Amino acid sequence: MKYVIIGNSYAAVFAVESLRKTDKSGEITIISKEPYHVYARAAIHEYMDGTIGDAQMYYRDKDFYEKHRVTTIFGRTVTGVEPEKNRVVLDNKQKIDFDKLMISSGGVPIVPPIEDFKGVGTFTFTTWDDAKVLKDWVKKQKMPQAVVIGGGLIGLQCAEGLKHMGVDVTVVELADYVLVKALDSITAQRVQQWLTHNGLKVITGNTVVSINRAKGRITGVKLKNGEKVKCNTVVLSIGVRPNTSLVEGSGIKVNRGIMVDNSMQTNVEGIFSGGDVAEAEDFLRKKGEVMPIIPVATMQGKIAGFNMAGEKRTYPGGLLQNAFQFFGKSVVSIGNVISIDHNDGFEEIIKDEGDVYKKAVLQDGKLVGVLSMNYIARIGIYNSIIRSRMDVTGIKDKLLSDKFGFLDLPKEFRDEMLTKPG
Amino acid sequence: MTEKINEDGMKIVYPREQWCIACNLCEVACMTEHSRTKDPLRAYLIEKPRPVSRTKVEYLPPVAVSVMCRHCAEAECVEACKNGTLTRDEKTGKIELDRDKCLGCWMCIMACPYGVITQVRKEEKAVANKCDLCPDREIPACVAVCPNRALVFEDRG
Repeated sequence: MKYVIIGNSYAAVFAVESLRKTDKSGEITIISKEPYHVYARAAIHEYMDGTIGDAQMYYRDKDFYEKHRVTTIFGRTVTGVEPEKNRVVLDNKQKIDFDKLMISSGGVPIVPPIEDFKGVGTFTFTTWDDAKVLKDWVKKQKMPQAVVIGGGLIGLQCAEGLKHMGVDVTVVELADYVLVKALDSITAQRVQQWLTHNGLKVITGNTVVSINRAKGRITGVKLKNGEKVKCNTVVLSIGVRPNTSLVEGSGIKVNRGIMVDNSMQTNVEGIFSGGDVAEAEDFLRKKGEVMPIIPVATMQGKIAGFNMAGEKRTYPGGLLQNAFQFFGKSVVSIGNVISIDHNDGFEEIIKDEGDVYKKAVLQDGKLVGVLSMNYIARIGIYNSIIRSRMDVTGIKDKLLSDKFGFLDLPKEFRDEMLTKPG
Repeated sequence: MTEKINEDGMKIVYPREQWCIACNLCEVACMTEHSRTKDPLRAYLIEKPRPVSRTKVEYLPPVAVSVMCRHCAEAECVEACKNGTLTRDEKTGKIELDRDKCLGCWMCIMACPYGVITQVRKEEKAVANKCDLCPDREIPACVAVCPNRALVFEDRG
């Protein structure tokens, strides 16, 4: 059996690991355009500002490919997939045959229509190389001043990293508040105040329309409202979109991402997908969704790997989850934390005391989301409650207590969790 | 939850809440075992950073239960970990945590459905902390100290 995996990040690693648990003898080939041993893509900002070095960047041990008997083709891009011929085509026209294919080609940065967004002084921020290039550039500037376009997670992490490096940073976010996908307006405001307190400038409800240059060097950017911000560095991080160009014309169905069923298989038998490129079922909304987060990518990779090797496994649906910190303050966001449709049986429970803000979102008596700032102890328990779909109406008052735990939950649930192997 | 397969089976610590009297000795034993001095008073009063128990006794009278890492066959913490700090040792089945590697991003705390990963100080930074099944002992310290057999070290795989 020949397995080919496109991509070399979180989903690919878990696909390899579950493939090898089930199929000890098949050939596995990983194709990746980046020339690196698998690394922690989500830690590039910490690499850039020097918080961590190479050792903490590598996601798996040096012998990972050897141990799992994986052939690697690095530095090559897959330009086409030919399902009827069971092969993929690389940028050097080389063709690689497969029996089973996993497409985990990740995301590509979204580039908005900004005039002159190219060339010296402009950067994107999704890969290790991006971080290295930006780091080198910043070090060369006498007075580094950066505008980061996008106040999502990657943008803000990049901004914090730059700040630690002594850069004067302005973040420009189009939405009314930062981290619009993970926070509600209250926590977003507090995060924003905290960022400002730590020396970042944050502009919301605005965007960059053009980049000004003099003698080829960036001198500043112009915003939608006409305002100008002085800078010599522009980092674009308004998000990523699924990297689906390689399957164009292949017959593999794409909506926003590559569409997969609950075995992570695409509409073409034997071709699977997972990670930031895939569109799989959202656990709460029961519809296809691209969820570019680590636990979703790894779970999808795992399920795909097992199914490719012939061990039937079912994807339980993805749940949005994020944990992040800015200048030492932690936020955790799980599930649906913004109940826009209050009429739809939604209810919010909020505990707002001093530095700590906790919110639980209920829908028809079931927990669907939790948001917590400056308090994260035992927060993962809410995952089990969300996944269980149990009715929490009876324990509403205890749900956000600092003492909340398994003893507040039904005995059958607790026994299931604590008396059986995990 | 994902279907779990624990094909090899392994011994982990299971609580038996009907016998737990919330004496918290498991927490003390755990903290002591993971201290430098191996002495409860010194560990608690003098050691810096103060060692932290990796099991947590919940008490809602009249019921009590001690909860620690389940060493899951397919662990959510491993799946959420940003940089491979958490891994599963395929030979022992244990979920290993490499403190030197930990970035303190708390993705594991967010992901663990049992809520058993905590934070502990390591030099200037905070890193993740959880039950390691006491590698230097035959029977984990919490199980050995429990006066009521409310914690047992068993393979239920």
